[in-house]
Amino acid sequence: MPHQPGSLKPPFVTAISTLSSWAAFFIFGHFRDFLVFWFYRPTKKTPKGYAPIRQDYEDFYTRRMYYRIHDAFNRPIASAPNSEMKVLERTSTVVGGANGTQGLELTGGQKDVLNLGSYNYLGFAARDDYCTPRVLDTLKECGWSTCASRTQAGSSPIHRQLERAIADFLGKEDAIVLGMGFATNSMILPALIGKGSLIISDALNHASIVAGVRGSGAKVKVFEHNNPDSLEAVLRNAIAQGQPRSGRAWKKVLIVTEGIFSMEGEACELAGIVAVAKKYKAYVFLDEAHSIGALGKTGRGITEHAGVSTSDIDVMMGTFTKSFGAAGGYIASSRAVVQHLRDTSPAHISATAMSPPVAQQIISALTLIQGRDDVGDGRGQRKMDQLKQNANFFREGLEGMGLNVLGDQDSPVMPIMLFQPAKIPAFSRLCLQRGVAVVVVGFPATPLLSARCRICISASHTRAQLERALEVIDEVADLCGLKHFPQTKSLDIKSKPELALPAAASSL
Amino acid sequence: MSTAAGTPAPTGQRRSWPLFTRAASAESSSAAQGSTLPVKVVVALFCIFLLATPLALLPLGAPQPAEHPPSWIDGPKYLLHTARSSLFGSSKPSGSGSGRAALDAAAPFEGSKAVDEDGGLPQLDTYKQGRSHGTRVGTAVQKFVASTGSSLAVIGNQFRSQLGLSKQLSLGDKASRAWYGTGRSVSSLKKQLAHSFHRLGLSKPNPVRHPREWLRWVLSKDRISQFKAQVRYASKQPAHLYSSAREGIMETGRLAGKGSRSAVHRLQRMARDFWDLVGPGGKLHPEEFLEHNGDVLVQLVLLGLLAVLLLQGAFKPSDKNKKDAPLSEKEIDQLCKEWQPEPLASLRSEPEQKPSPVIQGRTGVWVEVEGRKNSVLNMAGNDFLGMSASSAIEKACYDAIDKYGVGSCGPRGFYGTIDVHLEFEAKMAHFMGTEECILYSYDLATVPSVIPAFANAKDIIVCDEAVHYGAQNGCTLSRAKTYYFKHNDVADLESILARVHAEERRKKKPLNRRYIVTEGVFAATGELAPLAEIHRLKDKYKYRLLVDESFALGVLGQHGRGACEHAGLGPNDVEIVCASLGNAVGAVGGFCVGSRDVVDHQRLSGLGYCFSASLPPFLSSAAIAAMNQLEHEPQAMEAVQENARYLHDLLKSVPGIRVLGADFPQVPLLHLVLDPEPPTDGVGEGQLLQDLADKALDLGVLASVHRTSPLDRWQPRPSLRVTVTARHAKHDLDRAVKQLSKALQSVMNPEPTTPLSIASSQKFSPRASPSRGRLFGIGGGGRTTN
Repeated sequence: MPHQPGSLKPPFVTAISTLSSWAAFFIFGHFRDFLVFWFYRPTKKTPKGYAPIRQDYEDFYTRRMYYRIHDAFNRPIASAPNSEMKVLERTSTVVGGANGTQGLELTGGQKDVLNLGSYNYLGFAARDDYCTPRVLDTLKECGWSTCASRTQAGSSPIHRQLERAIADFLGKEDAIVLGMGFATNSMILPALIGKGSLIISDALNHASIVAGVRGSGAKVKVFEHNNPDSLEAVLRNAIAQGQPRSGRAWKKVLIVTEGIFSMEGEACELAGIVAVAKKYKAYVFLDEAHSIGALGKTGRGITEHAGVSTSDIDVMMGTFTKSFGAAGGYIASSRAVVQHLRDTSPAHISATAMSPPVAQQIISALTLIQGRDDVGDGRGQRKMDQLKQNANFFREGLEGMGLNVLGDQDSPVMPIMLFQPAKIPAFSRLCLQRGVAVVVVGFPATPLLSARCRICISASHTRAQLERALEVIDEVADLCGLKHFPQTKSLDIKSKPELALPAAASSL
Repeated sequence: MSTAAGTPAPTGQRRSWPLFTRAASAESSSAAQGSTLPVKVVVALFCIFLLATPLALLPLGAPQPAEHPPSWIDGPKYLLHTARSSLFGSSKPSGSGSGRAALDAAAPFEGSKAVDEDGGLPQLDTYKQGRSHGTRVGTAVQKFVASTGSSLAVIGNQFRSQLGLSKQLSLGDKASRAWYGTGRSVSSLKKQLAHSFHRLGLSKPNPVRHPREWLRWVLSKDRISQFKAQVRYASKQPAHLYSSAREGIMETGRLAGKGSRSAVHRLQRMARDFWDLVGPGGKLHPEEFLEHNGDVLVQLVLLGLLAVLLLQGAFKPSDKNKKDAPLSEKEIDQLCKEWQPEPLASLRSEPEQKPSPVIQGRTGVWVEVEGRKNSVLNMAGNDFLGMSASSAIEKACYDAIDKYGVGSCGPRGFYGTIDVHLEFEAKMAHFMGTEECILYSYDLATVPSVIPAFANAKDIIVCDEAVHYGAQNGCTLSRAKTYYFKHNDVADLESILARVHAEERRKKKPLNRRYIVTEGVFAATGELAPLAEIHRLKDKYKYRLLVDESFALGVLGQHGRGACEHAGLGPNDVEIVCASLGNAVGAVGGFCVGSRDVVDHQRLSGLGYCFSASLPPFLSSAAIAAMNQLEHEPQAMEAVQENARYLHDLLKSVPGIRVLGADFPQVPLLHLVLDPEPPTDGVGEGQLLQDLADKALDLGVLASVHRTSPLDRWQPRPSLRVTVTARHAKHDLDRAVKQLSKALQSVMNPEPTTPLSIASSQKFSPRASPSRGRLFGIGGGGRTTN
């Protein structure tokens, strides 16, 4: 029986119960506020003449909703975010005081858990036999910070080496690297495009793209999530109408989309989007934050996965945080564009340059996954194969349980839809109790009705770990009532020989 | 009669026309804005008033007893009379003189009065007075209506008789009778209703308005007995009401029936009348018409029409053609085909900017620059406290990489919070003396995350124009209304604050959040902000203050907390303080400190905090180790201030340049500008400074030209950026200044024979003009030999 694809939209009854849950939260929150106001008289007040620094609704949301479940977020860890990690225990949620603003205190205890939350796709998060010695060498040689921006005295040969490496890896003319992934979008987009131009953005693009678009001053139109037909309709009309009011032709049109959507786990319909862009002479800006290294046979991201040449993508953006276990972001493009960005982007001109050990980590990881390391045992390629197998195995397991799982085959990101707000902390706490750390996301990071749990699979997960995780999730999903679809498979994975995994993946 | 005689000269009309339109349009627009009443109603009322005035001004004598229908002046006259008597307090209007309509209308009033006296409500005298007064006016209005109807009939009759058409009872006459009859029945109904309402104590002009009073009045002994009587009375009322209503309706029906029956006859009669009028011998028969100069009338009408047309001006095109029809698919295809975008970025035609020098190995006082044999003196880095040389920090980094790996592989919310992040936050909060601290992974993303978390479109930000791009971007992203005040100009800041304050009060806006945003030490100028005065203004106008301390942290103030501490402000005087970790702390990243509210809110709303991976743990460890060092070795802070003072002093004596932040000698970030300003003889000031930096590098001193992004709002004069650290020795600074002034001389006054000029001076010579050296007051060849 073919499996029903996951859906972002809840079934009708679920939608009703989700909305009524939120309504209950809202009503009870206000009731409590009312009681507090009449009987406690909050002592802490905003000074006279000042408006409260938090807006009313933000304040209410934080106090009456977020603080009830904040133990499910921001969990501190005391180790590398590898497949196994140590989570620091905190006091259980006590909504203390009249305003419920009590923070969580560390108890000092630690708990070993299985990590299904970090973006550690290729398993470079922890100490790596190939990368770490090189990183430590670089630390010794270049220090940990240049204490200057790239245009002052902060350029190091290793920065140029990294830029060369990433440009070669992607087959672009040149590249520029910045110290933070978020800033790569939010500071580069304003330098790339401005007034009189148009940005056509996917409806579910990441906050950093939204920030960059807003900071650029360009007009923005949104097309339906991952839908090339909608893109074409928007694009046609936009070009025909020209700029609003003046009716002048647009200077340039930039289509901005992501390789893998981090909250949906879906791979972008790149071929369709590139075809539309070519037809209408628009430029394509592709954010490969989650897909670089994680998709494609050789880890070259969504372009390789979708069979699109990188020369068809005008600006390729990505981050080093995820697959490479480092930090920062890159823009790979033509020489002219990169030179323009070097001249104009504030992040290149005035922000502290990327730390040299971080750059070394990326270079080493790139060398490894390209198979150019001196060890020569093909470990990089095995990591990528392993990631794919792990991801597909786990996805099949989740879907077999009847969970509402989003995303595409091969994508290491798989959100499980929770819908009701009370299930957010419940799922997270129950999983943690059973030794599995998952990430849960709710409003405002997602729409009100589509709270979800997001699982990120890593190449460093062993099969035993994944099986244990599936068992835990199966149990917790039953407890939380998450099985929206009929169960199609038993959990007996051993009966599926085609899913058999190498016995010891931990050597990766 | 000639028609041409009356036609006005078209040109004259045209010339005077615009004036008229302006006046007319102004009037109509002001009327439309000023009053809520529709203009048409006002105009109509005005016309009625004009019509009524001459009638009311007729002499008020004893009106003649009129036959039915009454004389057409009866109504207005009676109205005037009543109005007068009610105004001047005279007794009842003398009904003797009024027409029959007036008498009839007054009858119910008399009746009701009698009932009043019978019912006996002695405590309601005032009410009775008021009521009778009201009734009097009401009656008058009613009579006016009735008599206006009959007056119109009379006018109609007279007009008809003038035309010789009056034969028998006219249509107007019938109408007036119907009107009159309806009026009477309605009025009697109203009277009955009013009376019974009054009986129940519910009528409008009841003096006992308050519910409590009313209740007391209702429950008084007298009242209860009265109430019983009233109930008895009221129980009879429905029948009474019904009968009178029925009577009224039947009367109306009778009249209406009669009217419809005679309608056919009337139509026939009208046709006959019409033929009489226009047929041969009729008054409007063409022959007759021409005979009586009817053409004059026609001409006059035409003239009037002409005038209207002339005054109307040109025809307006109809709106139908204005709306664009939606483009067809074919048209869109064509437009898309024709559209040609600009290139995403083009290589510049001008010579490529020289890439900035690349430092090999570690940063420090002496650095290796790629492509050069000897190490050079580093006057460009921001490692003010010399943290890069610390082996303790290196050890911390080494251990952290070994334990945690390099990246954190996730945002803070999703298992990207590592214990060293928490440790750093606690340490920094303690150091800054605030409740809490929040760590960001990038310095330039800190302020753009903080500002939008606390401001939105309703809020106000007043910002120094020289702040770095991050703060400007933060203001843009927040969508708050942003005002920029002149760089470090407190007077301008105050005028903006006062203006904003006045505007807010005028518009009566609700209380919103307001911020002043500035930098402690400006990255773009090396100047200190006048924070004490800004703080005074902030308190006066109830603003919150956000200060970026990136270049002052660890350098200024008693504990090294930055410019705020230097200005005498305590940790809680400034609401939000942000800073980069890339300068004095010698790591990477940024942070924000403030009260628990401020920091907690950012953990949910700070974009760069929520949506980006956290700082690599080893950098957090480096920052912790650096903070430890700063606490244990506060003398580094004194050393850097001492060095800064020394460098300021040395640079003062160098001719041809000026230090921008000369008033703040303790700041280790110096911006040098050319002084006097060079003439722009084809070589930009920036290029001159670049040449100076290149030359200085040749002489073994690394300093960088301050570059701004074209995205920056404020483009300062190009400057050479020189920094000094705690680890520079005095003789290093002596050397640096010596070489800088040499480089300056050689750039400003290049002479191929100068012993100092090396191969690279060749490239300056084409641009050199002999006048430049003189203009700058820099010595010639003689001084270049030192």
